[in-house]
Amino acid sequence: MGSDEEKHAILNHIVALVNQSALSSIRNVISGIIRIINDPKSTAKDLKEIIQIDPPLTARVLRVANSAYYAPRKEISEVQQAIIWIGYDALKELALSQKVCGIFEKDESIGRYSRRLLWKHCVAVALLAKLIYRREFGDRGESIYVAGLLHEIGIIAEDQFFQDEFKHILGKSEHEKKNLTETEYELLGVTHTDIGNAICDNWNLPDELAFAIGCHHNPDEAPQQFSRIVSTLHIADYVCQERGLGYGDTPFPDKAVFRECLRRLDIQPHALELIVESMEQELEKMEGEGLF
Amino acid sequence: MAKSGYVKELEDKVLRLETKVKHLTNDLRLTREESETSTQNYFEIYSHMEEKIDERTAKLNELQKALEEKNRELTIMLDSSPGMIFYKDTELRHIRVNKKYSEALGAPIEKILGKTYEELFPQAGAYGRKDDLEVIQRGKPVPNKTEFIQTYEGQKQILIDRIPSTVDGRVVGIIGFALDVTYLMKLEALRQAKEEAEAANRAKSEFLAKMSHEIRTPLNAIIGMAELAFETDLDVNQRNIFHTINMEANSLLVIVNECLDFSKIEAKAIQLEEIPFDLRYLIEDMANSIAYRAQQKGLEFICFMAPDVPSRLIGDPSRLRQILTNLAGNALKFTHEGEIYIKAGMAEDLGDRLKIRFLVKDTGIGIPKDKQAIIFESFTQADDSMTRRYGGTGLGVTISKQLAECMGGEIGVKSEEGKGSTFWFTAVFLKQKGEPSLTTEQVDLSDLRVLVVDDNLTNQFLLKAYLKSWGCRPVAVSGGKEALSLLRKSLFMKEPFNLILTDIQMPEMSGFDLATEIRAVEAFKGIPIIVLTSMGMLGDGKTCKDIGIQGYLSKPIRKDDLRKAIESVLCLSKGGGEAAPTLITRHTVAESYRKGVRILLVEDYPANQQVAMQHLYGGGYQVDVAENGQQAVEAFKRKNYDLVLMDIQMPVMDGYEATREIRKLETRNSCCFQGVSHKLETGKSSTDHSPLTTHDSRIPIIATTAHAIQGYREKCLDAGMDDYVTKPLRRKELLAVVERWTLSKSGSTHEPRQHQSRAENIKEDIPVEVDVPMNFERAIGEFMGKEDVLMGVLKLFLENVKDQIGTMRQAISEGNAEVVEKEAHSIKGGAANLTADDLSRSALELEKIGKSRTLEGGIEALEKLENDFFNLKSYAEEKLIINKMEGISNENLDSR
Repeated sequence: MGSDEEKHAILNHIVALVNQSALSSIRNVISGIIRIINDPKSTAKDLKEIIQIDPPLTARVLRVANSAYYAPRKEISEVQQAIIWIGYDALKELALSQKVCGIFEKDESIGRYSRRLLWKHCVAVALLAKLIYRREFGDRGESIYVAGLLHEIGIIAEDQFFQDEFKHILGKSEHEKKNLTETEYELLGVTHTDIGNAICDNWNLPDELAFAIGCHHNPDEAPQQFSRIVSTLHIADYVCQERGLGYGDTPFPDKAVFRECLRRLDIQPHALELIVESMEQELEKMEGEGLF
Repeated sequence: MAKSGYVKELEDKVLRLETKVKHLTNDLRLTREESETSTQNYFEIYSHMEEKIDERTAKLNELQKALEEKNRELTIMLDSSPGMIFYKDTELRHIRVNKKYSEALGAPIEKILGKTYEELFPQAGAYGRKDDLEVIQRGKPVPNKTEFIQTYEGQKQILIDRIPSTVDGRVVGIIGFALDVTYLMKLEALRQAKEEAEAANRAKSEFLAKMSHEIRTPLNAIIGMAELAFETDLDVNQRNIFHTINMEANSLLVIVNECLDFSKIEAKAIQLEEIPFDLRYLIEDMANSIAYRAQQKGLEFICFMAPDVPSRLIGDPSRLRQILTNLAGNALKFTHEGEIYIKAGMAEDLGDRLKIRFLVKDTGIGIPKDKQAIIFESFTQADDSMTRRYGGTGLGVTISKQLAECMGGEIGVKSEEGKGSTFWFTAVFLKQKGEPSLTTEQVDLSDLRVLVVDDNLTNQFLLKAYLKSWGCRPVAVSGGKEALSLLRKSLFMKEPFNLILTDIQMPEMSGFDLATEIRAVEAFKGIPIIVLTSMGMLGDGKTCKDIGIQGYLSKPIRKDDLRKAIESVLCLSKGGGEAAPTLITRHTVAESYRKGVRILLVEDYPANQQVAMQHLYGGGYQVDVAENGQQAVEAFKRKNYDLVLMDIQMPVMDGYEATREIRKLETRNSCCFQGVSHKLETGKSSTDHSPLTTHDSRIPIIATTAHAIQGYREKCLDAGMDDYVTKPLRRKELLAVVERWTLSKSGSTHEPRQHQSRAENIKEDIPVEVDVPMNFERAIGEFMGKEDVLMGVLKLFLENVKDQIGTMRQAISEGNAEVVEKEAHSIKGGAANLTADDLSRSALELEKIGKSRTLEGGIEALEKLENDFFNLKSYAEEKLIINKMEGISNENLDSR
């Protein structure tokens, strides 16, 4: 198919469209929270400021904080109270998910695809990837949580800006029993991972995030220093699709790549199994409380 | 070696457990980390909250402070209100009150708050409670109520406004604003009382003015009639009676005039004139009349006007003269020995105006300290007993004060009891623009070395001041011996004296003695000498000529006179070698002729009579008054006048008709009148100046009219009048006209003369002496210095003459010329012995008439003799033998 230049032009076009649309509204919150995550000196005050500057987000955060899931003893009416009750780290995730969730809100099913299902997939992947980081590597996994939430942003862009093409792609993939990326590449010349990567680049998000999103289908292509995040995201994506959590874009996965990832990260199958159990319990709980 | 399924299962379990442990360990570690972060965050948030609380607390404190400040401001505002302010709740309890309110109630604020008015003043009754309740019930203001309230300091009257305080339309309290009007009400009452008092005072003054005016009218008639009667055929007793009437009426007139002035001033009816006048002339002129009286009382009199005071001013000279005369008159009245000193000096130059400070200083009885302040109040003399001793209304000083104040000045007195008083006052005048005083200084007197000899330091001072102002270099000494020694010394110096001024009356060596000694030295023969005297004596002139004195001046010395005398003396001495020694005296042409000028004033309106008479008297003229044309014609028939001032509108006979009558009489009887007129002369001067000489047989008649329009002038001239002056009569105008038409008497030109030129010297072979009817000193000399003997003789002589005059009058009426001759001869001799030269001369005149046996002109000659007799008599009376004399009042015989 087309040259790198053509591909580049298409991506630039799409990024420009993204930046002119409501999708870009998540940019500031994402950048801000990522900055806090990467800055050890940051405090709850910084987080509070990021949330407070965005009234719709503040409302969402307070709504969640007051839900049965967190069950406050008295109504939480300030972000500061939410931080105290929910916890600083938890609130970072909450704020992120609530913000990103906003761009998935359009309930229209195309075949087995819907944004809602796609969002469920993203949350599951983010949760699982985070748990892998925490349990297997003893790392907080905050960056990978962000990566998990955003790894399918390219699909949203396609859905938003090329709706007819996207429907065609979905239908064609279904019909021809192909993975989504294959059809995308055939019809658009770029895949949703390319688009996600380009958006991250354009928004000056950290390289590890860009690579994690851009290479989550083919982790081997990522540079060595981002190997862990990319591999972990691939594993989480693979497992969630296997388990049917939300929408899966890869009905025909390459098991070898998955095994290679596990091997690279030295994750025992039973260990993964334990983590997935925890994830499924958590997800179930969240879904039960209507958190997404 | 194959492991058993169990082992495998066990191994798996271990593996899973190991993994779980690993997972849990990791989770635990992360959770601990996170909880640490959270703790940090909590702490941070907590401290943040503390900050917030502090912040809130600070904010609250600020608010609290601001509130307190506002409250303080409000309290200040409320307390600084001149009125009382209260705030009551709906139960009428005081919630807030200001300081004034608490002060007015006489209770501290703490005591008032929380209580109702009735609780504070249970006995007071419910003042204002009704209005309070009305405000609360109706929610509407009740303004402007005057109420009495009870306070701890007694009852007070207040003016109060009540306003409801509402919150959302509901009345929650009542605000009251009140003013304590107790004081205002009292003030208002006082003001009314003051206004009433002032009105009463004004009414009093108006009444006084009216009364004074009413009294003056008959009084003028009395004076006029007395004067007319005086000229009729009277015996000695009658003459005394009329003389007394005239004197007393005149004193009464002075008092009435003072009252009138005073009441005019009180009633603010006085209006000052603004006319040009010459201050130096005014002061020196006034000084003349004072000087005479001072001299008669034996007082030294000095008058000095500082040379830097501009003389040409605009103001009210007659009012100024009035003040000076008042003060000087008082000085005269209350001083028995020493001196009287009048001074004018610059107080302040105000550009086109100037303030002049006048001083009248005496060495009289003085005024006690505690009386000095009240002396300027109405009707006050230093002591009521004074009134009895010295007479007078005591208004003079009050009027002076008012007049000085009208002239923009002040008045004051410094006095020490027994040592004398100094009255001073200031007055503001406009400066005259244009050319300076007419005094021309033709002879250069600068660098003239003048020796001044006078024992009186004040005189020394002012002579030196005058001399210095002309650039002379005076040296003053106090006595003859010093003068001689200084003169001798001057022989050896290069600067001899050019002139000597010496007083005559000096203790050790008299001026004449000094002059004699000076003339005895050959080297001093050429230095001109001017002698100064305050007592002119008969024979002085001859003495002067004998000694070789060139100048003779009477005190007070006028600056212009002194200058003229010096100029003349210097010119004479420069001319040198003249055979006949000449003496310069102060006698001015004006003085010498005025004394003999008699004017008939025809005027029906008393006020105008007074004004004209004052002016004419002041100018040195003799005046008779006729109240209408008829009287004027009668007077003209009986008496010889030099001038008639004729009013036009008069009852009985108007001015035109009277003039025509007089002209008719003139043409008919001119020869007859010519004959008599010469002998009728009553003036003391022996100079012959008949008004009706052959070349001028027509009496000048001047019309006085209020109509200044052209037609009247023609009409006046047609009726046979010569000139006219417009009313109201201005002193300067009047005197100028009179002077112009009476000049022929002095033999000068007909050109109008300036007053300033009066101070002119005349050169006469026989010096004209001052007006004393006898030379007292010489007479004492005749009686070997025995004054008591002289007095006895004089008294006897006067009593005899009084009888002799009666005898002669009868003899004339009976045609007995012999008796007349005999009696006249006797008087002539006696008078000569007593140095009463005037009387002696008139007796000689009558003796001649008696000798002629015709007795023609006998009555007139007797009248003249009688006049001279009265002069001598009053002179003798004033010569400190007042207590030895009996009979008639004699005060101020010569004052007019």
